[in-house]
Amino acid sequence: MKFSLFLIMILFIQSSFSQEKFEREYRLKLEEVPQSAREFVEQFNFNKKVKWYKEESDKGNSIEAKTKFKGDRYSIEFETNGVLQDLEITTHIDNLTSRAKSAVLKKFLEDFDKFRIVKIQHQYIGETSVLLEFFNNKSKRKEVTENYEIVVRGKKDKVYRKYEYLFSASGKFLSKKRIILRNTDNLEY
Amino acid sequence: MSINKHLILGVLLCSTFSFFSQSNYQGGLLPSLNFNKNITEVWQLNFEIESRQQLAAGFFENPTELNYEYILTDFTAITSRKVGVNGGIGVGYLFRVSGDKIIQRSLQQYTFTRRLQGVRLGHRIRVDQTFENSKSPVFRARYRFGSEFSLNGQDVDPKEWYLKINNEYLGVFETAENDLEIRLVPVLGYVFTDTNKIEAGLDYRVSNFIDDVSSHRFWFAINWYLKLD
Repeated sequence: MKFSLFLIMILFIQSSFSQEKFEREYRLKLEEVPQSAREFVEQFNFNKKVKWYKEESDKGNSIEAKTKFKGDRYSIEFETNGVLQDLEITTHIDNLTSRAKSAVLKKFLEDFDKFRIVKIQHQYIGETSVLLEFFNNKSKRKEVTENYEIVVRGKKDKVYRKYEYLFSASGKFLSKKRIILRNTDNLEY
Repeated sequence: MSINKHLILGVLLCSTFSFFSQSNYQGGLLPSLNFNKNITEVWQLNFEIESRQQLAAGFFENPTELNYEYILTDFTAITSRKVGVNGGIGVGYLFRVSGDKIIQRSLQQYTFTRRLQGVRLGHRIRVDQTFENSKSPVFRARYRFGSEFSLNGQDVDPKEWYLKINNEYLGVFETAENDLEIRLVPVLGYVFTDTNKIEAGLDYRVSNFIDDVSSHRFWFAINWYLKLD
């Protein structure tokens, strides 16, 4: 009985830790980027410099291309072998459909006493060729999954914390992770 | 370069030379050890030991004189409470040992950090009150603006280097006279882990520049930050 309780506690602690978001990223030289990833990004004809990063996170390792295009920040994530994972574009809450917007705000009002949206990224997931066609023709395709990744600062029980939420395009809540804040003692003291 | 630009550069250089020629300087070492501990999710305790050692001092127009002298050691304890996600208000106490003199200082501060693309900004507003036997109390109000630039990636991660530049303005209010001190502190830092980082660089301070003889201090600062879990 005691052992089972202990096991449940361990599993509980483990699962609480797994709900935390951790990221470490550093710059990559263009020649360190897999060719397939470079070729995919080249097809977008971005007019600003594309910066490449290797990202180590709770989800595993990945490669990310970041740039700014027509005022929006683009972030294209690949597996380390160059296979496309997703494409994210920063957006604003008012760009969500009214149904999605009210569902997102309703969820935040439920979860927090006070909140502030820090960043919203429109996330596109799909096969490389399908995503390219989607962006070139702006045609809606069933094969493209669209989500919203939202970073929010929320106050609950007098404590502010930072979270990353994932909602579907229709505003359905999918997941939530607490963001581990960096230690900034050298800027404070 | 146009004639106007040459003229401006010349005037700037001349004014810089005259600024330094009528001034005194002091240079040395400024090592510090900073411990930080989270008491609860919102309360934090900070303890710092900082020592000041002079290696040279004199007037700019005279030849440099090497002159080692231990100056002081500061022991500072601050307790702060988180305000919002990135802010904090704190109160603290400093105990300074300088030869046979003991100086005490109370301090209150508000800090706020913000992350932008590739840079983290830190603001600190602090007021302090210094008390020393048989001297009038000294009141200071100071504002520090710090920028921490990641030298690899968009954020400073473990095993990465960073450049930090602090700029601080201190208003000093005494019974007899008031003064303004400006500090510029560019340092190069390295993060071993999120709880252990070290930085080293110049700590430049200028004061009395409103009067005739301005005072310039150049410290080689080494700061070690440890967060205890």
